[in-house]
Amino acid sequence: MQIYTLAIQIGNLHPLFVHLPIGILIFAFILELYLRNRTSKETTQITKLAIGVAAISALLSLGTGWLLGEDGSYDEVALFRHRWMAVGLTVCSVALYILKISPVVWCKKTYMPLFVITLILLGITGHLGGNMTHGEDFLFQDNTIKEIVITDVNKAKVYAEIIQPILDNKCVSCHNPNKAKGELLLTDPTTIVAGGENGSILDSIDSNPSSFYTRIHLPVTDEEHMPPKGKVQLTDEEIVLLKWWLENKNCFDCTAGFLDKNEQTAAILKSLETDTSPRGIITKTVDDVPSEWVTEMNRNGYSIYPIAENRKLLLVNLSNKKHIAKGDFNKLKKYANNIVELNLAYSNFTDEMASALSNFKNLTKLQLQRTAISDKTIEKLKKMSFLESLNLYGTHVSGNSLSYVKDLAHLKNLYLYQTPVTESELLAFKKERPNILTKHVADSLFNEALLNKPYFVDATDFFNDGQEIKIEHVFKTANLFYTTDGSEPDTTSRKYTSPFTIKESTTLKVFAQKKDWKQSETVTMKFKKAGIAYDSIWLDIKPNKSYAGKGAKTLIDLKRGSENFQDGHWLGFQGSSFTTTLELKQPTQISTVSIGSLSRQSSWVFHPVGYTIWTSETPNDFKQIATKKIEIPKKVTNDSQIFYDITFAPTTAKYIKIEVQSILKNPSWHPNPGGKSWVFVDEIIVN
Amino acid sequence: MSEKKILEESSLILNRRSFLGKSALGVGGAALASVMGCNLFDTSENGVLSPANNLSGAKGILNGLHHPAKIKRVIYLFQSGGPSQLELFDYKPLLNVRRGEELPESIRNGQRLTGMTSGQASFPLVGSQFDFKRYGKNGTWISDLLPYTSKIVDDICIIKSMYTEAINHDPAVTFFQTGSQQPGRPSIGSWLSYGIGSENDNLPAFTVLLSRGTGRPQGQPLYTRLWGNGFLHSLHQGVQFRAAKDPVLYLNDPKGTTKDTKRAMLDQLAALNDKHYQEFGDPEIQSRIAQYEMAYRMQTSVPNVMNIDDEPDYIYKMYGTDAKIPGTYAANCLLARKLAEKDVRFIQLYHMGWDQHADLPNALSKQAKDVDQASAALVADLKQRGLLEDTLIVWGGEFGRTNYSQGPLTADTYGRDHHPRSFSMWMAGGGIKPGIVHGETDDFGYNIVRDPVHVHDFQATMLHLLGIDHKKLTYKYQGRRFRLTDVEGHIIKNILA
Repeated sequence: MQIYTLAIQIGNLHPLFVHLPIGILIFAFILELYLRNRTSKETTQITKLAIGVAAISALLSLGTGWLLGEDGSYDEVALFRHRWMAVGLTVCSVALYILKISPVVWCKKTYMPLFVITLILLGITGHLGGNMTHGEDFLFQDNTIKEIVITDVNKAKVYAEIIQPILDNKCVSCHNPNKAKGELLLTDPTTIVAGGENGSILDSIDSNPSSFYTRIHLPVTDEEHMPPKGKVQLTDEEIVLLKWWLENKNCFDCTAGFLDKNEQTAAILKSLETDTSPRGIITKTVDDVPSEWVTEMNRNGYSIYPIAENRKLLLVNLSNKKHIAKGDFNKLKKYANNIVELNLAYSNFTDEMASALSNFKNLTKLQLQRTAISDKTIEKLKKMSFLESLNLYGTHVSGNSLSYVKDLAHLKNLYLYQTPVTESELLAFKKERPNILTKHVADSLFNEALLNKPYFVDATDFFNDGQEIKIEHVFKTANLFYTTDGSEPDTTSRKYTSPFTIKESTTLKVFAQKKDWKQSETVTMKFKKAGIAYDSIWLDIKPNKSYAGKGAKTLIDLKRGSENFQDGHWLGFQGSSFTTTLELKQPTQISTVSIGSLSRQSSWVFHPVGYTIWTSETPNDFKQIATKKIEIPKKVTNDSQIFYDITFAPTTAKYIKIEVQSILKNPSWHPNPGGKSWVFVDEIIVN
Repeated sequence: MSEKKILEESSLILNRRSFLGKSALGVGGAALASVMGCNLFDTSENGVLSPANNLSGAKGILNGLHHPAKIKRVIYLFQSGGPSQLELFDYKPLLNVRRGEELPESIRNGQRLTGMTSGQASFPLVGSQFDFKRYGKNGTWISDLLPYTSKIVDDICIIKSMYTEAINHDPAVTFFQTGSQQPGRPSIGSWLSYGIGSENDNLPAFTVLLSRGTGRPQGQPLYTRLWGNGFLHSLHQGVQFRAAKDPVLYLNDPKGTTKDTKRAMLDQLAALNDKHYQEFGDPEIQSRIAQYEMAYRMQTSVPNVMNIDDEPDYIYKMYGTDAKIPGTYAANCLLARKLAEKDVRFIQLYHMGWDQHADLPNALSKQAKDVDQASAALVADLKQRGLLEDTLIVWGGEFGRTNYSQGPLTADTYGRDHHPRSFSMWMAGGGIKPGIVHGETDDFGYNIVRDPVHVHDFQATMLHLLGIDHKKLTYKYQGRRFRLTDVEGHIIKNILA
């Protein structure tokens, strides 16, 4: 065994010796030709020496080569040819030497022809040997590398487009059909699965990882490490990818998108992508931009930044700037090819400056919206072949411009909202370039626009003598039609022009109308005349201090509360009913008491469930004159504010006592049954 | 921070200044300082206003984006209160079939409930009272409550599988806005202002607009800290634009002040402040100078952008006539478009009132009416103006609502409690696949069965679209590097175009 190993080691010297006979034989031949006509004793000695050394080196090469061939990793046929050719070559070399030193005449005659034959043999043997080392097609292979272009790595075939190229680069030079180190071929799926002299390289054995996995991960100093020390090594990224492939059951026909991957693998995979987008192409053609230049430009008021850190491409934002001059673009000229995005939106850019745009031939996005440009500017864009997005919204660009942009191969988004371009021009353009999205008016989505309701300015529901009615609408140009008799208004009703005054209780109905709009809903507002003057008012219990308004007076201030019960116009009482007593200025005949209250059940606020009214002409002596029970709601009702009228036979009174009865507790259907509920009252009117 | 600590810190900053700026020792001095164990580079790492930045704070701390951005700005239409996904986007007919039946324990699976329903004896399932129909190229189900949203369904990406950890409003909103349920971290807009700065020197990078919903006008208020800068510099806090005579509080000059006197005053003040800074090295002083300058510029830019009187009629047809009334959601959407046109980086809207514990059908239809048309109009308007391709619009609340009724279920009304385990949002704009639905919930609309999206995933994706690696935008504070996504967050790859 040791002898065998030793033999192999000696065999490994073959590459050292093999080049000697090649060089020496060729040099000897040149010497022969050169010295043919200058023969002397010295020259003959020189050529003899040369041929002799060549013969010895040939013998050494043959010997070491023979031993190397025993190692068994070479293709049998190739080995056979190379070996026996080498034998022939060695024999010829030795023969040459013999002929050279022989004094016999015929020897002199056959010497040169044999030399030529030897050289031919040398060429063939050398070539065969070279094929075994470097691969059969080494000499005549197509050197234009089949570059695999991956544009979307998720769609890439894991084995064919990612793994095999790594093997081709780093492994196949030894594991190919000619060399087949360890009897392993890494050239196609079948041979990879078949494995080498130690069996499969992919299967893990006894829960040890497969030999492929192990050997690429061993330290490079380890004997078993692959690729062997001295050969070009796998990069860390390549090892990660191979590991990832092995861990995914070394799938031969998966696409990368389907395999699980961690973030590191995903990032490496992503880096395999060749960016064939316009920006990817541009990146390859432009120089780096010094950051000092960018800083300097920004200091001068430009807004320039790279698309990301360590990227060569630049974005330039001059939008909303109103003092751009044509000369400003010259300063960008130096790195104009790096600029892929130019934003001039809402700026003072005009047709006069348009010629400056021709410097920026690598733009992928150009924003010109709301600038005073016309077709003249668009004409300058014809050569911006990378343009993907062009914003012309709100410019004077007409349909003629479409012919300038229709040949821009990369154009995807074209914004023509509010331009003179007509629908028919756009349709014709769409036929030619169906993939360009031309974003036009979205009006059709919103054509059923409803006007909102008119509203009353400074309106209170109550008044003493007269009330000025002022109606407005958010659109000053809207027409407002109204009635005052409670009937439904229409466009033949009275049209509101200016504020007017009402003297009596009135129900006012009004709606808004405007051309091209759906008319608004009708607003109804009741104005109540409160004719009776109060002297004072008091309460039997205090309202909750959070909702105490301005005390009892809140109820007679002629101001209604709003939806917001914290607005100070409401009095709130929790978990109890209350009684209030009003004193009129003088005894008056009354027949109605109206009480405003609120219901918002989600906030535990309920309308009162009953009222009782007493009157009197003196501070004591009260007589009950009316009582009202109101049904307790049986289910959730909408929030509401009501004004409850209690009418009774006319009676003369100076004092009026009103009990407002609370529901006290949330009813059983309420989300919080039994909770202490609230009663809120904002106004009491006596008529 | 104790007084001692403050003094220490300021002396460290002073050290850095004298070492790097004034001393001839230069780099050697800096190296010596770091050998001596002083953490001198904290401030430069955090880059309050690193030397490269000008005082306007117009550019952020990042040297450049981590990767090319798909979008330049975000409009976040925050629906505060927790909109019911079951009445709007997540169509679950089974809930109508099994109306009134008990929520199976196998579905609830131990979910923690809020105090508002945890005491409830029964959890009757309830389906949407509103019908759903299919719209768009992919036949996406959308509720009848959203007639306009249904028209733009091919432009938006609906995520039905959002989930969060918080079950109550404030922690949940805070979680969405800052990445933490506890207050104190910077809001998304502040992170962006800090990281990539403003594109417009005359407007803040982070603006906030509020509106109240008609479905629950007295709903929960919002704390201003939701758009706060947390531990970042106050320069980065959101600026609220109000619907009032003074859109930005304290911006206008007192009567009798001219532009020139104002300018002279600011220059003097800046000189004084700078002197103060040289002495004490408190970076907050620089931040204050920058804010005075920003306010000065905003005196002209804000009235300009807030003026919506010049908008033509057809704009109001799109956004709805409510847009004429300042302070409404519709008006805010219109303003959002104007701010986007001015390159404002992060435009945050909040529409309140989505908290329908009771009386849901009635209140929710009002809420939906508040936002439906204007949200759709914003998408369509940005699209026709060419801004949608580099703007991200986000529509969504802090959590969803339960599939069972809060309180008794009656013939025509019901309520829904907070539900963190699944809810819907939509996004539209640059880098987002349009017209798709991502994720799915079970037939009960309770649990996610496919492609769950966590709040941090949403935040990571938003940053990714902006060209920022969410793991790399950090700020060192109290000895730890903080980031918006805390230690989590995965980019939602399947929704990226």
